[in-house]
Parts: sequence; structure tokens; C-alpha cells
Amino acid sequence: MKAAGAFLISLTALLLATAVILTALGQEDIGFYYSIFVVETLIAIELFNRLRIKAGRGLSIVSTFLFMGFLIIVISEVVGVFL
Amino acid sequence: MRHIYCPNCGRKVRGASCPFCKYPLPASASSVTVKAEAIKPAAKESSKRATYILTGVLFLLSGVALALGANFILEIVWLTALGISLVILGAVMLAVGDSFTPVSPEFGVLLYKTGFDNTAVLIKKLGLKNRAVYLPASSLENGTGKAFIPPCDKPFTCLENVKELLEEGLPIESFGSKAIERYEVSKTSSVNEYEALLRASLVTEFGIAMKVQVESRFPLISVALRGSADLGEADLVRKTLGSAAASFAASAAAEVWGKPVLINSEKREGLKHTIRLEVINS
Repeated sequence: MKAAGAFLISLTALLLATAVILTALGQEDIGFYYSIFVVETLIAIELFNRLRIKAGRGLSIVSTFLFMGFLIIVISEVVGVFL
Repeated sequence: MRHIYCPNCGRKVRGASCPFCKYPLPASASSVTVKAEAIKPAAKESSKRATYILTGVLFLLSGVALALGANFILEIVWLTALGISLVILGAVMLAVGDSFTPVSPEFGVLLYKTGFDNTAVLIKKLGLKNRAVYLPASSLENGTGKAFIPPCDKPFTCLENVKELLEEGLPIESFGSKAIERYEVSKTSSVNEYEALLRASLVTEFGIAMKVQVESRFPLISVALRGSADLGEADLVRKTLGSAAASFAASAAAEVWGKPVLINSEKREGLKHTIRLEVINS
């Protein structure tokens, strides 16, 4: 299960680095932060999907929930543009 | 310091009998110590799983509290973002932690070797030396594929058809026939799908090979594996049922083509492991 440890460390470093960079750039939109986090997590899950099938299933449930949150943000942004 | 483990309750103990369950301890603790050491990796795996799940729950709860508090009370965006990242990490940790098996890989390999050593003894006692024919699940009544050891080396020279093989052959549950049950395989006769199935199983799930390449000149199929693990099966088992990788390749081919499959040969050259299969038109 070395892959699992590497995956979690990479994801933690990636999310933390993103938070630091976006804060340094003066980003104030929390939806933007969330969207970037979700995209990064989905890419990381896909890249590290060499974990076992069972872990793959658990991770796909997480991916689904994250993607639903992402969709809610996108829909609310689109509705905001039209209203 | 050497620890003695109680053979009954498994706790670390000292003295003539276990203070927890009163089980009399053997005078020489060496054999007991070895047994307890062998169980340790499994305990390690379970504790790893518990650590991941506990950390995941802590990350999830603290992330939710931080995100809500920072957004609605403190109104600090970067702190809210940090809370969200903690929630994501917590959820991922829970998913990964749940994937740990209760037994260690070492224990799995030991079980595998024990099973096949016993199979080798039985095959030897029965005087069978012929290569097994892997049948697809569709040709068997209970719907699960199996390997059948026929009474002759070229099965369909001494047997008329699959029905006779089912009657005359010795049914054996091999690694491949058991492992293929984990996948939903449809009869597509597609080499690409077959290769994808081998990659998903041998490389991704079981980790017994690093790379898979399939070449087909129907009815002959050649499977080349790179970095294939040698699990040390008994020679007689290798000759009749094939190695773990060959057995899975044969079972998968039987399902993909929906026909009996024979392992023609297996060759290891350094890191390269070549398996040659034959799909039998019976």
C-alpha cells in the first residue's frame, strides 16, 4: 500500500500549494478555490488509480460527490450570469 | 527482549500460564514466538487501516468546522479554502483506508503457496501430469469457470467434446478461475478487450506484472508480461495449471472467446514472461 501513502502525500501537497498560490494571487472567490481543488483531486485520483479495485470504488464515490459540488457551483454561476 | 504470546488469546504474556485466560504456557516459547510473529503483519495492516480512517474522520470534521466557521463567522476566504481542502483530504483518506485488507500480502502469498502445494500433492497422488483445459463459465452448470485436468495431454484427441471433458476430467479451482469471477467479462472475442482485462487485473489489481502485451494469431494467443512476479508454485502445479499469471490469462481468454483454452507453454527470460495459449475449437 505504498501507492496509497504516496497518493495522499501528493494530494495534500498539491491542495496546500494551490491554497497558498491562490491566496498569494489575491483570489477572493471561494467557488474558484473549490473548483480548482476538485479538478486537482479528480486528476490525482485518475493518475493514482493504480490502487486496488475496492479503493477505486471508494474513490469514485468521493469523485462523484466532489463533481456534484462542482456542478452546483457552475450552475449557480451560470444562473448568476443570466439573472 | 523476547515476548511470549499466549497460544490461546494471543496477548503478550509471561510466566507459567496466561494471566488473562489462564492458558498454560509452553516451557519453550520459541515455536509460539514464531507463530505470533507470523500474525504480526496482519495486525499491522489493520492498525494502518484504523489510522487512515481515524485521520480521515478527524480531517473531515475539522475541515467542516473550519470551513463553516471561517466562511460565516470570521469571513476569511483562505481559511475557508483550507477547510474545504481538509474536507476533500478527509473523504479521500476514508476511501483509501477502507481499501486495506484485514490480512497482509505476505499472508496472502503464504495461503496461495499452501493451497498449490496441497494441489500438487493431490495431482501427484492421482498420477495426473496433463495440462489443464480452462473452460468458460457458460459451459458449466454452476456458472463459474474452472480448470479441468484431462486424462490425456492433448485433451480433444482422447475426448470427443467438452461434455466428455466435464465427465472424465478432474475439476480444479485455480487462481485464474477464481480471480476471473471478480470481473464482468462478456464474450466479445476482442484482443483489445482481452488485453485491457489482463492489464486491469494482473497489473493494476493484483500487481503481479508491470506490463502486458497481447498478440493473437487465432487460435494462438501470446501474452508477454514484463516484470512478472514469480510466486514459487510447485513445478507440478506449473506444468498442469500454469503459474498464477498464466492461469488468469487462460481463464480470461476462455471467458472472452467463450471457448476452452489450453496453456501451450510458459517461458521466463529475465524480466520477460511469455505465455502461449491456444483457444480450442471443440
